[in-house]
Amino acid sequence: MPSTRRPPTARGLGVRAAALAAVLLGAIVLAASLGAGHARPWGAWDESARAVLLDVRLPRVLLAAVLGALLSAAGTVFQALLRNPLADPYVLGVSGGASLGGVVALLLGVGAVGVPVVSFAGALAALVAIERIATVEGRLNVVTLLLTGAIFNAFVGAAIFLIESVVSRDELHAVVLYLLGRIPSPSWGALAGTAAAGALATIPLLAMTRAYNVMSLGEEGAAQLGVDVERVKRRTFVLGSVLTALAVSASGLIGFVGLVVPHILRRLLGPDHRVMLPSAILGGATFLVLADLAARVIVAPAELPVGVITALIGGPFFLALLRRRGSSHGAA
Amino acid sequence: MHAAAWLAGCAVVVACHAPTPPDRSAQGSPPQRIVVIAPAAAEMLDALGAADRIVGVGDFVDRPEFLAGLPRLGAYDAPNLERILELRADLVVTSDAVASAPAARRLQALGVEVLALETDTFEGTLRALETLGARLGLADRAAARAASVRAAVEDVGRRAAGLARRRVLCVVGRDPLFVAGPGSHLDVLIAAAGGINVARDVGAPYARMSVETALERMPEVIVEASDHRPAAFRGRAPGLWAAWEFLPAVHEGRVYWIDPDRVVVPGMRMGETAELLARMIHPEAFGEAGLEELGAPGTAGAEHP
Amino acid sequence: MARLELSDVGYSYRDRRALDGLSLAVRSGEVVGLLGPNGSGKSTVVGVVSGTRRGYSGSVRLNDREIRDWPPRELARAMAVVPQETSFGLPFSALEVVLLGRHPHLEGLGFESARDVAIAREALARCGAEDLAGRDIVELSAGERQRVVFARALAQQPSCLVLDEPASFLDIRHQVELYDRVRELADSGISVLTVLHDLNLAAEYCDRLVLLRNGRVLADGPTAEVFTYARLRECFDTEVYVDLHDLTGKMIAIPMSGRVQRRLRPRE
Repeated sequence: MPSTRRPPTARGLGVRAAALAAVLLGAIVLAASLGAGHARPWGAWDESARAVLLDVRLPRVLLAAVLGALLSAAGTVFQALLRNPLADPYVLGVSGGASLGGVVALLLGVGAVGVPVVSFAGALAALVAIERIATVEGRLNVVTLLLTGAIFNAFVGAAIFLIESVVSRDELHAVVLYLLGRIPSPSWGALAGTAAAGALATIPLLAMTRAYNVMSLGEEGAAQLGVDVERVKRRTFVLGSVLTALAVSASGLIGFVGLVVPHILRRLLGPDHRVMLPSAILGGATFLVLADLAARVIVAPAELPVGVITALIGGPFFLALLRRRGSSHGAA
Repeated sequence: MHAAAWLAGCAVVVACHAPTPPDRSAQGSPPQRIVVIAPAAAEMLDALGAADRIVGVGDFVDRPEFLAGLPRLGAYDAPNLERILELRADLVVTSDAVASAPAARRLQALGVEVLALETDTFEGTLRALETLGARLGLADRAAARAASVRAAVEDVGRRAAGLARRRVLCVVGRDPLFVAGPGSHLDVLIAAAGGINVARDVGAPYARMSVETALERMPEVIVEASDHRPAAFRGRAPGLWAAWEFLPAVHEGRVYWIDPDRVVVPGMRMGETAELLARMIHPEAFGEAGLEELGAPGTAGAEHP
Repeated sequence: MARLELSDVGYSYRDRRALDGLSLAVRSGEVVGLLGPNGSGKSTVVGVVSGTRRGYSGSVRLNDREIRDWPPRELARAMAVVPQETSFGLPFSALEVVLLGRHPHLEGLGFESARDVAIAREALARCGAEDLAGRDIVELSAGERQRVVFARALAQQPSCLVLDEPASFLDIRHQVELYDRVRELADSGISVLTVLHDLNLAAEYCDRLVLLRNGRVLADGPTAEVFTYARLRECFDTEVYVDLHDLTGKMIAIPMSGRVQRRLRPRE
């Protein structure tokens, strides 16, 4: 199908970003209006409604937006780094470190404060180890990175299985639930901190978006066009992993967001990363806000793990996408 | 660059998860609107005569039956914060399981008092009862009820004192095999009922045991409390253990299938449970009353397992 | 406008020496052809010259500045490389691919200006590919893709062009078209270093030829002087019939098959 896309401009990006931001805002309002409790943002508020909305529901909705943004951004930049549209934020092994850290913290009983912290530390330790292994003669080898990440994830999976088999039933239950992927209702401080850290890590990634475009020509081709390929790779890996670590330490493993959102946006808006990355951030936030809304409301007062919703939507969607991709592209 | 990123990242994450402001809930006055998540606690509140203060229950609270109409609030790891706040609960009673901690902390930050009770062991349960009673301003009543449960169990122990100890295996889960081990209330009750728990060295109140080990120990009585299905068989039958004829429990016909809800959750009826176990272990001294109807009251027995 | 000079350049891979004592120069307006058998080091030369292979010994200078000392973006503004083939992971349009060539000229993280777009369109037009502008690059044929890649190199507005067997996968018409453009560019002052394996193309389009064998320069000089039976035999280790053709006014080369060799030398 011939593409009649014109090259993106700053104004074009502005228009699209504004549209996506409006959709996100609408989703947030919708999500803040619905929940297991009966409180609504409009009308009279009594004290319990105030507590429900401002202390429980709104922070959680906003955290869903932040996590959706983090995961989609990480997925987008990892897909650029690995030049592979099947990459998701977890493929490079950092999520394994976060999970293992979180499980260990949970079992050591460091308390609810300690779990995200130890989880994050575990993620960063994994990041450093994997980066060391994948750096050969000063160059970050992307294929080695991918393999190392996959092996590390498998290793962590086995380690967690081992732990699960020796702990008590009570602890086993806690571990399984932790790994399932649930968005908690955070304190405002936790929310602000996560958002701030995420923003700090995302800004350098936004600055590299044109370089990502050039890197689609291959590492040599990009170098010949003046891109500092090693620096782009290293920064992308580190910052993308930080985003993933923030997300996993807050909520466990929520799948599909980082894989599906970049894909949808690439189809709709084109592969130019200068448009895709900001759009993925806004679109991912919207996606997770709505998925979490569904998770909270469908079987209220019980909750489905939000990872179930994202998989139920993401799975079939992704298969449909692969089928279309297979038929429309011959040899690349 | 990495060390800096690591430290900075950890610092940020620590900062944003910093200890929350102190519990804002009002201390002192006895709570009037209670949410019960731990199943054992519901029974306790009823025993203390405070069941009318319960405004909401967790998903697994089945007894007492009159709580059935109350709002359901989710499982102990994820109680529904919105509904709890809406109910204006001033106390949430939950278990001290690892998985409950994050939710408990969140509730406290929101100004709701949380009592996390250890209700896995015999002593723990009785202490929990006393803690709950103290908090509700019913300390005397709680002490009395705890004492009566303790007395009932001790009475069983006295009557079983001179009898030859029999080897008992108490199963609480299958695939893999989970048994009641040291520290569980069942372990205490088995001892009081004149039995030796063959799983006394598994290292945890509820732990896995391999089937080979279970067979090696040659139990003389098997208490099967693993089948949660409502229409499952209850009563005396070899069931899945029939394949191993050499086990004393099998060829002497002392494999009992019981509704787990009756024995696995420690609570106010531990005295009756001790008595029931004593009948299983020493029918010659305690009689056999009630051993053919081991289901929950009102359920029909089903086909043999 | 641009002078590319290699002096006594050496380069080793882990277990073998790919280039040894190599010297050559490309002046403004010259098309220099680099010929040699497989494994003679041609691609290594491209790597060294373009700055991707940094561990070389000796001196490689563009406009009297060592390649290693050129900041990468500045180098990309002066030198463009057209590889043998490019794989495209993302479905950019042809125009977007050509616009990537403007990257060395863009500051910050801005978008391309109208002027950049105009330069890109003009580059496509010069390659006869303006109608491909809106098409997805992954859908184009090899010949069309190579034209787009060439246009991208032009969009860089280089003063030095390095081509690594750019016409290998093109059919004969596109080979001629591509090198016609190369000739035009050289005539406008750009210095061109091209690696190629088609002897006749080399004879037709190159002003000077450099023959490589085992990482060393075997011959270096004007085409007419280097393009001889003896030299080619020494370089490629095979019999090639060489002659000056009336029609084109240039040398032609006809590889001699075994059958022809036996006919010429029945006793061997």
